[in-house]
Amino acid sequence: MEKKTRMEKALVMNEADNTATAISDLDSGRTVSVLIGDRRENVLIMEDIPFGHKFALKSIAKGDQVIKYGASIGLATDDIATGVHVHSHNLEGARGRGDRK
Amino acid sequence: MSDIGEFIGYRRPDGQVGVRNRLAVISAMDNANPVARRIAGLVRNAVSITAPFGRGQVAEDRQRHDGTLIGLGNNPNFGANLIISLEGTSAHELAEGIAQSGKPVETVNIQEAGGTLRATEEGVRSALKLMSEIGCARREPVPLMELVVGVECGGSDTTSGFSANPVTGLVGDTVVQAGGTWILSETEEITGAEHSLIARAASKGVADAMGAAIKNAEALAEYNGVQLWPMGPDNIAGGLTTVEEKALGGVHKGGSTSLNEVVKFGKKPAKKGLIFMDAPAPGTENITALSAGGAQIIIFTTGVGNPVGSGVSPTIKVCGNPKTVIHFGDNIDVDLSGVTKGEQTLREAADILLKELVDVACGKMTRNEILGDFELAISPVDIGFLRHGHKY
Repeated sequence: MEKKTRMEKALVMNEADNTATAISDLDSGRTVSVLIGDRRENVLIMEDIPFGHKFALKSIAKGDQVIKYGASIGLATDDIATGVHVHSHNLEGARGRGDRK
Repeated sequence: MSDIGEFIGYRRPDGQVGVRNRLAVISAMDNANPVARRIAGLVRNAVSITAPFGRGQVAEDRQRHDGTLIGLGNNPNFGANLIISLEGTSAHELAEGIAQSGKPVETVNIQEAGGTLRATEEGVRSALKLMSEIGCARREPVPLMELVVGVECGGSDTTSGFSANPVTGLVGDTVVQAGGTWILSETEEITGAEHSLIARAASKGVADAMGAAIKNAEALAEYNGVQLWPMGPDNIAGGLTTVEEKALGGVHKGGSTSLNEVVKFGKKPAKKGLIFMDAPAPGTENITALSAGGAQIIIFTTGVGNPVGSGVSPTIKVCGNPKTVIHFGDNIDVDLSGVTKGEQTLREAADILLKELVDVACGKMTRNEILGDFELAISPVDIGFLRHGHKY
């Protein structure tokens, strides 16, 4: 992660990620250019994304892994469309679920 | 990376090097805490070490309480120790543990002294004598390999994962490559990222110990029937959603070198390099454990703001959130928001943090040292879990 992030509005930690993290408040309706590895992709933001929060880079089906840092950060608890806010309302951790045993 | 190769520190009789030269006034049990605080308050350059409980604790829980106090007293930042207790036995036991460091240690027994006023007088008089003794200690140049740094995160948000933590990890790599020691901890908050540490373990024994520490954290959650959840409302408001996400951002603080040893709460590593200490994640508990394990300095990254530091080990607060470094700036030592804003690279930021680390080692006071924002907490041992739920 040595690249400078000048003027980036969102960061993608790893090429395998299906989420990006906003480093600026992003308003619904704007298009954000994100750098994924060496290539750039435009993502239409579908909801207001506060600074530091995640949005989906591609659609994620309910029950599928949500990927950040190239690894699973949990499972989608609902279908997630591209550009939508990803957080506690649609993402749940899979580790340490002593509440389920 | 800049070629800073040494710092100046206090060489102690047991070979450890301190970055401060203070007097520890350690209370053996909570019933002696007020006297310990009072003595430390009357003597400049003294730090009181007071924890709740002690009396009535049993088995491994008592062992951790006492062992942590001994570890804190043995921290090389203290030139001498004064132990305060209600009765003589517990003071004697702590003194024996600390005497192994070769540092001067004295005790005050409140019952024998005849109450708190007389105990305070006796303690301050002992402190005068001990401070004169340790006042002769001189800093000498020592190589970076003598550094023992604990790393911690608190009040994390998503900026922690792409600015403060990776920058801390780069500094860790430099210190480890120079022969120093870098202690990563917070077991619940590595859950989800442990594979990267296990893959770099120096031996199968270390890999197994790392895996066991994580499995026990999950087993404790199962034993309690709860979700493993080291997530505060501030972490969540800051954008962190799951334990795994927090862990994958947090593990960067450890850097990229091989994992050489896994140690228990508050225990001093035998090896150098990257170490994992199996200790709970909450900031105050974890910095207590790191200090007891011999960390001279703690690098404490924060996203939304956490001011608390260790009174034993100067704690450097590092933050990459552009809003926090302004709003919470009084308590932030190193502003790394340039990384988040795209104005500096991780390596440029690591140079800045390395310089701060060495400056603090040489005597520069951190914000929480100047302001006295210290707290100490010794994590309880769940004896029921040890007997019935601990598997790994």
